[in-house]
Amino acid sequence: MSLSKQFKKLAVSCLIHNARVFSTSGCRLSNTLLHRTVNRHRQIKGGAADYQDNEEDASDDTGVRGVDLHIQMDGKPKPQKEVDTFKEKYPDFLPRTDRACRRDYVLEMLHRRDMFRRRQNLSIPEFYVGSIVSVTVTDPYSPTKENRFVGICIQRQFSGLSHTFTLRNIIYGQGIEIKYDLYNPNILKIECLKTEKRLDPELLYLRDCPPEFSTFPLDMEKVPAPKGKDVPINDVKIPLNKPPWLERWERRKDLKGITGNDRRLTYRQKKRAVLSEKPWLENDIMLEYRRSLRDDEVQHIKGVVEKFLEREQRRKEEAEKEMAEES
Amino acid sequence: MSLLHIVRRSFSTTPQLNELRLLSRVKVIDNSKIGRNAKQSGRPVKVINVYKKPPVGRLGDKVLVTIEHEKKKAYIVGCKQRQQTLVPKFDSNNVVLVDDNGQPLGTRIRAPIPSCLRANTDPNFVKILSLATTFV
Repeated sequence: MSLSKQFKKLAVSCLIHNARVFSTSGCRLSNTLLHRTVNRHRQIKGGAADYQDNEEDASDDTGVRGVDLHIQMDGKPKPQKEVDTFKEKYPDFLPRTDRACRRDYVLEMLHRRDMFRRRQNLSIPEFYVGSIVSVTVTDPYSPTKENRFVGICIQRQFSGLSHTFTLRNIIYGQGIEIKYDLYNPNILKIECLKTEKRLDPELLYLRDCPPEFSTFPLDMEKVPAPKGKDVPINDVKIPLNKPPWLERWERRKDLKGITGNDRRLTYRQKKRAVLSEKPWLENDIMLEYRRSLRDDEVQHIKGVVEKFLEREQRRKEEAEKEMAEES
Repeated sequence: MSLLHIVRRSFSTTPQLNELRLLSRVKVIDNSKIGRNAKQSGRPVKVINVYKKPPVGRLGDKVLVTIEHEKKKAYIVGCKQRQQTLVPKFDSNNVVLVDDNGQPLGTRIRAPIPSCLRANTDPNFVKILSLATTFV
């Protein structure tokens, strides 16, 4: 019994195709099509077309220009500082970098549209890890139907609509942490009471520090941010409590904001801390490439966000004008 | 490169869940006499039964605790465990003591209590909520 000629031909071509895909994309999780090909067919919308008003939904669809993200953006490369400030200012708009193979450009764009729609109704101030933020949410069980919490922002996680931030405070000697979805419709108001940064990207070590470093009064007054200057960096070094700790801080050599994570250790702890070091990760160029975002991608997102902010500004001015005319 | 780097562990580990299992220690936050005595003497207050299945204590559950060589019933009003969004996560596991009839032993609770517990309309639990001074 022999296979038909056509079937043989098909099988061989399939095998060759798969081998070629595997060798070029380098991962088994990828589509059988190349990412490049898929993106070209999906016609990623660029620039202004990304953001659409409800009324302009129909009109804008005709003038869509296809832009391939894998091709270099036209125009000169802008200075590195702008890209970095955008990354710090809007971490929710950045695409995921934890698993690059799970990225979906279309989903990111849809998320961005919904985020803009939410930002039209709620003014979200810029805040960083280390800033003191107050959040008011609706609470059906409280007599005033509102619930307000003030605390220091210790973590900002995830990208897109599922972006969350965690606030920490100590009330009556009781440490409390609340995690909020940034785009939760239950949030009524977000206020940044004190804008500043800390030395570390996450402040989870505040759980193991003395309580005075995470205590903030609930009726704290708003400290105006300095205009026309960079956001101030609070370079306070916080001493850790005595061990036992909630995490193995003796192994975290990258944290700059704590002291005392190398003292009061047992011989075994010190030995294990040395053993767990992974100095080769610093030289892993592929890992760095996978975990980082390309500048042209960030520039693209930055352009989209700036366009939205301009439109929003114009919309507000027009609304004010109408109000003035009516009165 | 040491041996430990080459020989990997044969079992997997997960991050700590901070669940209130049996014999886990809790903190009494009301001003009852027995609670203050336990705090002074330093004897640990432990969960010995959770009135549900599986016996894992979560926010708002009723538990049985040993305190000062006695058995008392209590409600969990604060958990160290990781919570959903908008639900506060506390630095300690807090309980409020009640007697066998459901009457709270203390008269005042200074520590804050999660606001989401106010959804519970159980008449015994409402008595505890009326003692609370702050909600978060």
